Amino acid sequence: MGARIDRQCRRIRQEDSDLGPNPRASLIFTSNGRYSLYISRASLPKFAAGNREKGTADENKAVVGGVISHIGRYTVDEKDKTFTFHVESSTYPNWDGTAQKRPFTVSGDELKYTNALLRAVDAPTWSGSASSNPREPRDRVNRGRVRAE
Amino acid sequence: MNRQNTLAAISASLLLLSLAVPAGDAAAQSMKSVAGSYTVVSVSAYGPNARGRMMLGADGRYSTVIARATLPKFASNSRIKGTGDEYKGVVEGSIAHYGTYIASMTGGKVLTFNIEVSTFPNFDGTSQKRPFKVAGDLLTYTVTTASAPGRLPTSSGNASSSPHRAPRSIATKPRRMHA
Repeated sequence: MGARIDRQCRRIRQEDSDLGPNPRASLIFTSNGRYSLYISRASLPKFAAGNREKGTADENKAVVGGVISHIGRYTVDEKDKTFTFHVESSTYPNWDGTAQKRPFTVSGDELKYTNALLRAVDAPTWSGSASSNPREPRDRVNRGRVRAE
Repeated sequence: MNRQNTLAAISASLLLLSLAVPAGDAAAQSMKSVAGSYTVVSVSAYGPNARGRMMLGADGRYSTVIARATLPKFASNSRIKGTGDEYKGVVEGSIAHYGTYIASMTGGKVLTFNIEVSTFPNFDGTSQKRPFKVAGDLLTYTVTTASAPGRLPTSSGNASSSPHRAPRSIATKPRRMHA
């Protein structure tokens, strides 16, 4: 435990996502144990009212059904080859306060993890390319934070 | 004539290019100065004890998620089988988007989110400018174009007057680093 992943992923293999072809995605692990995940269908309907609080039932359903996003802390178990999302806030609120464990592998700049249990609510297997340069220092993402303190 | 215009255009392009290089370096510097992982302290539009994080990467990419203190859980235990009220509760009570950002530090400080993907799809492909200030470890920005304009407070208390221009503040705080 205590290991960090510290990378940004921006691509998902479309065949592994339950959010249709060409999903759009961002996954950030920071070296201080925070993460932010976002997976969306390739396109979502714009709100005709131009107001997030005045969506139609279909617009609301399309967004929440077509997106999974959550934030929180993560931990890594190197022995089990798993990481766990400790979800603080999610667009699927049933996950708030839960721990979501995921077996994972890293190969080159590709990170892949699986979710065998909940196919209906999360991509079961997907992978992304790390955008962080391994030659950069590991605290690269936190540089601004250190200065701010 | 055409040739001269073309050459002039090329010269102008080269000039712009030469100017753009140092400007890019400056932008990179300013992004590093605000880069970090921020926790929401308050966002009035999402009620008391709003939750959220904003990650500004030193590489110019960002991700932000903001939600009310609580959102309705789905009785069906499936994200794709929610009720109308559950879907509405999530859409009204949260916003998330990611993309690239620029922190302009010259003159008035402005954070520009170049939104690629948002739970408010009308924001997709748009640039959202947010004047901001930093005091200690607290970054405060002002929302000038909201995803729910009616939520914006106005000085007169009349929500319908200039709803797109009324300021709203978000305050976020960097977490301590465990290097």
